[in-house]
Amino acid sequence: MIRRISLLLAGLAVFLVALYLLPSWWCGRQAPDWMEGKLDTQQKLARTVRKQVERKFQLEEFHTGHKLFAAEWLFGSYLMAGIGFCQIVQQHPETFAEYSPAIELCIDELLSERVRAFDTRSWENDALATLDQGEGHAAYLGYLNFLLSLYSELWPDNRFRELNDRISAALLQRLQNSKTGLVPTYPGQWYPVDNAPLLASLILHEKLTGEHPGSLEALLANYSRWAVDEQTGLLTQALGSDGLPRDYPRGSGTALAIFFLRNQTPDLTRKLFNGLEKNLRTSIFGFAAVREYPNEVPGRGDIDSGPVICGLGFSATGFSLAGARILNRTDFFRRLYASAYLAGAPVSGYEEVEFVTGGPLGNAILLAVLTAPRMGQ
Amino acid sequence: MKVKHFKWGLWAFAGVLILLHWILLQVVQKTRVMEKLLATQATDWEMLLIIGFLVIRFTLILFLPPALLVRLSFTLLRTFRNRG
Repeated sequence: MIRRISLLLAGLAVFLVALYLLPSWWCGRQAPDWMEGKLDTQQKLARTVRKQVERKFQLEEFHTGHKLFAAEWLFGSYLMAGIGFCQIVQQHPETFAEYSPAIELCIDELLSERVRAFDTRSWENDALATLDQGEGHAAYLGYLNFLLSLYSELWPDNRFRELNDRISAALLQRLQNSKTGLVPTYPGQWYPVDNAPLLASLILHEKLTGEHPGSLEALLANYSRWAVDEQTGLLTQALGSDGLPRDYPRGSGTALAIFFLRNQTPDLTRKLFNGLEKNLRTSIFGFAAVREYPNEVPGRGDIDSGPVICGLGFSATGFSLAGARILNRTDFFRRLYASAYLAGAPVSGYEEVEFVTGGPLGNAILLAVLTAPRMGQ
Repeated sequence: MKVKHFKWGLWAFAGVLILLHWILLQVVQKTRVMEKLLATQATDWEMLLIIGFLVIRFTLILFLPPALLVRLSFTLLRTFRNRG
């Protein structure tokens, strides 16, 4: 009897140790290649995303059940694909000729009327036609300008350069006129996360042109003061016109802001990531996940967070891959990648890999976050 | 006899899980229901399909390898003891 119980306990111990070590190791076995930025690994996913971009995304493909969200996802798919391609070229300059047509295709699509219609409908005016005298449009112009600045960094004489200059001037003007240090995404709606790419695009543009030196430091300080929750170090999800919080600090917004701010604002990027690790990082069986809300805050899932299961956010966990790579957190990155593998169900071919459950947007996002540039390299 | 039955039962269970996982993977890929879930717009049936797929995938990756390892350890232990 005692022998039998000992055997059972030994079996249970082996089971638990194996449960902690085996699955997370198996799921995270490609994480070191992504962390090191191996071209072969990056290109497998890039080929899948490039194929999707080349056959052109259609609005009907995005099964969100809501027109505005589907249009935002269409926009987001081209944006994240373009950023992913730019980052690969940044890390492997010899691939410029291979990826520059795809980057330009993404930008052309982002500039098309069908893709920017969601923003035009919300504002009841065209963001590009009202550049000189307009207001707002933080999301459309901010995200677009981030990609334009990134591409200009790779190739300063590209055909979108003049547009990059014009949008940068317009956004700088709008930020300087803002009382809260933020430009509204839609009329009456201020989202700090949408202002992160806007700010990062201006910093990148300033480095490229040398224009407006020093003017961004004050704007960045203003942004940090209004957008960052001092208690947690996380990014507040939404602000009102008075600059006061209208939502809690959240994981999805914080992780996405870190992705865009990256090495453009190293101190703020570190502060946000430390806040995220301290308040939201969770580990189960060797897999890492990120909570959408800090522990004491009750919250539900929405379009920003994706599903929130037992407090764990899909978007927050996925976007955090970028922060872990940017800040060289190798162990956190490996555990997050294992979670992405487990939930994303990648199917590998000889030359391509596709995360089956992600769809076009999920694959484009993963390409962008898994190739986010590491600090100090 | 019972022990032998259990031994093969676990391997058979693994085979069934792999087959089910493959079938559901094709369905999830073709119907792209995960996108609706990510947009928090999935219907009850779609939720059920995704939960079913994830439960099978998690069981296959998380719990089956440790269980097979324990099974294998016991088999090896018995083999060595019988030799001894």
